Amino acid sequence: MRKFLSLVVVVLTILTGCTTTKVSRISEDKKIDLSGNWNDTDITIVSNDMIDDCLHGKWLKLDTVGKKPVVVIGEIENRSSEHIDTTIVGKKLESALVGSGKVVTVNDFEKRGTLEAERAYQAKNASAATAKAGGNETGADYILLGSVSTNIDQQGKQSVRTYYVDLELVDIASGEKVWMNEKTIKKFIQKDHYKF
Amino acid sequence: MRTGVTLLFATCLLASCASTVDVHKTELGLYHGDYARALEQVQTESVSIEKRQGPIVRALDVGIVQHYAGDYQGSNVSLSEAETRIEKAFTKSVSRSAASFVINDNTKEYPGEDFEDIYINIFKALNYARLGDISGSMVEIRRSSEKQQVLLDLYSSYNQKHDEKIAFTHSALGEWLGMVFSQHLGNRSDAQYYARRVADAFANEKDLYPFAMPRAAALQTPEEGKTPIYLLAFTNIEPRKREVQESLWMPSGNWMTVAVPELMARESEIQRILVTVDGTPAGQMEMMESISRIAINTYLLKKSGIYSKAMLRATGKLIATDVVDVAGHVAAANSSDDSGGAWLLADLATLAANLVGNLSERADVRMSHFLPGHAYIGLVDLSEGAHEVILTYMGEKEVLKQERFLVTVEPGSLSLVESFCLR
Repeated sequence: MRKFLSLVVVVLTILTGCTTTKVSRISEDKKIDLSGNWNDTDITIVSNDMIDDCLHGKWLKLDTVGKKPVVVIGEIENRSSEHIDTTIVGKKLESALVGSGKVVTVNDFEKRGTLEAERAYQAKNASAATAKAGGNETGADYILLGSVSTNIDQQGKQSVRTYYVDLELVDIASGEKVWMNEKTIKKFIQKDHYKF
Repeated sequence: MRTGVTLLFATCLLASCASTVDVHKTELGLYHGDYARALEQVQTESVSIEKRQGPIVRALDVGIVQHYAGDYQGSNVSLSEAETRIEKAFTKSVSRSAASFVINDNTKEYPGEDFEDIYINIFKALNYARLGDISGSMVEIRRSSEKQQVLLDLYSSYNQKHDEKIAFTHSALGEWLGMVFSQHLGNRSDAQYYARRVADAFANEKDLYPFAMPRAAALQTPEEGKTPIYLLAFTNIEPRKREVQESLWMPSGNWMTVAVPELMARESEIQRILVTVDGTPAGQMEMMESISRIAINTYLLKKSGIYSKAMLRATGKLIATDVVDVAGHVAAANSSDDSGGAWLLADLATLAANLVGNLSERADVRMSHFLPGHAYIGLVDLSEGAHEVILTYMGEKEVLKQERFLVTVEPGSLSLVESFCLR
């Protein structure tokens, strides 16, 4: 009887231990797929591929005057069936472009209001010597646009989820597309039909 | 004797395995249009809903009432929880499934009905729209379309084997919302695609859309200098599941009970919805979708399986009772006890087996409770500025409800007026 009780206590201790939340730090390169949905691994794969292609694109050699091309990050549309933060891909690309020293980027499409509000604030509250006036921003030569779309094919416990990510740089003056790339990520997802 | 008492006790426990839950107070709040009270009530009842019907029903019930009450963020959280749980419920527990063959279907985890899974995304799309995130709304519309595509394959194989067909292919309401949102985002080709899908639903799903396609369902160019204002009204409450039980007495004296769930549509008090803009009558809203019809039609997929399983289970329980009956009485006949105690024990064991077998046979009536039954749409083109839009819900002759909206038309903004009269 005492042996049985000891066994019950041990089992209960183990089971109680199972309900505790455990957190451990892991390497940012480690690939972990939990649900099959868009995750950090997909962002890394797409960004690395796009960055590499964009920095080696012919468009960077177009400017003969010696001036660095100026790029603004436009909208990367989410046309998928998941709530994806597409700005992460744009930010990663922008960061790589700036880091390369070959390109200048200007304030994001979506944050223009913030700059305008700050200038308006400075005009009212900052000293005349330090207040920044409007009308001095650098105009972008190119705008980065893109989209993320998904396609799903499912039968029973198996499904194939495909992500199509396309990015393009458009010459703002001419409307010409000077660089574009498309990356496809395909995932095969299998779910268990039964559990114990 | 102790065995008999134990069996009777077990019977009482099994009888309490029924999945019915009382939600009439929340329904009353919805009926009277007091959504704040209904939300308070459903949150109070959520513990008993989860206990009796599981976390999916609880999350769905709370999420839908949150939408009616205008808590769009909260509704998205609850509905997302329901959606994730439905997805996870795809993996079924072997032990629970096995128990459902012995006791009843309530032992299984409730996986959600097909129509619930589809309308989760439609209501999340509406939540995102009300929060001003139309791209988010489109994500939900696409998600709903994906689910419908998967179901289409299942329905098509069901239709090959059964006379009573599942007509559902896609929700015209979901496609219409896709059209409205795409048009607002300036995606003309997407809007045209969704408009074609709406027309397809009305042309090919006659059993589910036996009414004319609303004029507002077609892709239209607004009058010069005007902006389209889309009107969407939900009425009635989704069908309810009720238990249909039948007991059959056998020549042996034992009996078997078959209990199955049945979806029952509810009558709507609303006959028509009149629209008035700035004091001038602007026509009527038109029926876009009967969620009730879709719920009942898509339920066919599970219905035949549930009915066959209930028959099999009831027969198994009857055989077990007959075995107890015969074995007990044979043992009593061979007993040396002349006092009749052995016969009494055999009778009690048979009675207990009958009670356990029959009282444990309960239908699985788990289902969400507060989705609307019908959707109506309308469209008015208005010039820039503030306008008063009044929706009047009419019964046979009397006014059941009147709702007034102040709509400010601004260039580039999406005006989608959403109203409810859940009677």
